[in-house]
Amino acid sequence: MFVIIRNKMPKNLHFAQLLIALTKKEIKARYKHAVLGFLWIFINPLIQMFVIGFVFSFIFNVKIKNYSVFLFSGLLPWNFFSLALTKATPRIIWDRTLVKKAKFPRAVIPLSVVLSHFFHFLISWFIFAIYLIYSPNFKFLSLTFLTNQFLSMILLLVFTSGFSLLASCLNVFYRDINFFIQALVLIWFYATPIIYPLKVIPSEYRILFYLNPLSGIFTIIQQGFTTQKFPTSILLAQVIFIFCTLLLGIKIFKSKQKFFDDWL
Amino acid sequence: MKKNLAVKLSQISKKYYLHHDKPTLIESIFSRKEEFWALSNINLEIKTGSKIGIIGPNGAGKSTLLKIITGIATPTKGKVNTQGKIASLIDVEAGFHPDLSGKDNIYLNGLLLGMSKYALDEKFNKIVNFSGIGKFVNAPLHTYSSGMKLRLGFSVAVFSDPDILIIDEIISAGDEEFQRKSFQKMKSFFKDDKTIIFASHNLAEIKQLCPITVYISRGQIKSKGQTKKVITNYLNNQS
Repeated sequence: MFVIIRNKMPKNLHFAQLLIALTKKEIKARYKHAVLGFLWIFINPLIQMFVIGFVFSFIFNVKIKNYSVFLFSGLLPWNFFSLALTKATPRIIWDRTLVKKAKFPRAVIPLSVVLSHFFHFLISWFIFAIYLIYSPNFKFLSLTFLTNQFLSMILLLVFTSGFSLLASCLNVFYRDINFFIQALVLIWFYATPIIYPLKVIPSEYRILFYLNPLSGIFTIIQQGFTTQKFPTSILLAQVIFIFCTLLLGIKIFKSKQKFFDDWL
Repeated sequence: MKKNLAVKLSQISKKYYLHHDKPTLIESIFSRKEEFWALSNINLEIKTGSKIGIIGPNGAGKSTLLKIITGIATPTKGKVNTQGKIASLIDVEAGFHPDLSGKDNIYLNGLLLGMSKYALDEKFNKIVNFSGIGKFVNAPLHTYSSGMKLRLGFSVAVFSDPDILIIDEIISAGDEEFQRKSFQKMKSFFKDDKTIIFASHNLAEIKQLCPITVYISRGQIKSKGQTKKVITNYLNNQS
């Protein structure tokens, strides 16, 4: 009985083991390249926070309480999303020697990139949370705050995974997808309420922001730092859209992965 | 598929498109495609436990055929049936990462070859012993000599315990001693009911290892049967 179980290991279990091993590899490889490898995950948004914070608070005179904390809370998840997506998209081509030489579920390649960046995001989020606990000015760490953070992180992970599967798969067949994604991420950053709250957008233009599947996630992430509301029905539609993106990503990836070898 | 068959290929054809540059979305809309058939109408049955050699000139379609059997490439037409676990020794170093230790790389490579974590835990010591890397097991892979890397990759593949082992020229890499050692090991390791499919230009090795050989040229099977006859046929065609 035991032997049978061992030999006929379920595919999903092997997929999970392989995905975890590759994610660990991604994380370890990052540490080994630079001593400060991990610290950059935290330093990057800090620098961004100072630059954007300076521009908006002093030059444009934005009046948001604790603007730098508000900014930082949005920059951390944004950096996860943009880094994971842009690094995962060309990854199958980079790993072509592997893809052309061994048979394994190819989805582990983009997904391990996404998961390793998610791990870094979680670490930096915990550092940020510790800062919030000890910071005398903020009383953010309520149960609602944590639930909101947790749910939006999961949604962001689902969306990033689905979108990365889609982009990395199509990039094998059309190499310009990579450039398209880089440009898209640049525009997307300003089109998402991260450096500004959604409430500063005039209500007649808000409909455009509702079409952005990330607007709900980022509004909820930053809810603890500024009073802003997001319509529940729109949020629900976005959640459905996010899960559809994942399903579409999985479906297209599955149907296309058998042709990867021909194009690499 | 019959019980005693390891691989059955029915009317396999593989078409590739020739790209002059990187494939892009723009190109796919505007430019015409040039076709190229790497394999056409291949029918092949490989019995379980047989050791079969594949020979043919460069560009004959040997590697494409091996990739199709392994499942890395998908045939344009035809059907592939395989029975049992397949491991391919096409390039054992492909799954290695230079910054990780030998141990990490054994696990990573083993998982990529389809082994479970449990099986790797169980066979870890055997893999290390067989590869002869010794104390280097905890050192990062970039400190290894190329021979050590080769031995490590080979050991993982051998201990992944496949039913069908696919080898593409692997033995001709590495130093002479390792070639001999791995060749001997392979012979003893797969004496039993395992199937070996072995593509090589080294006719002496093919003669020694495989009783049956398939000769491929321009994507088609030219002849198939007893190795001696097939090799004679191949050499006559070459000259």
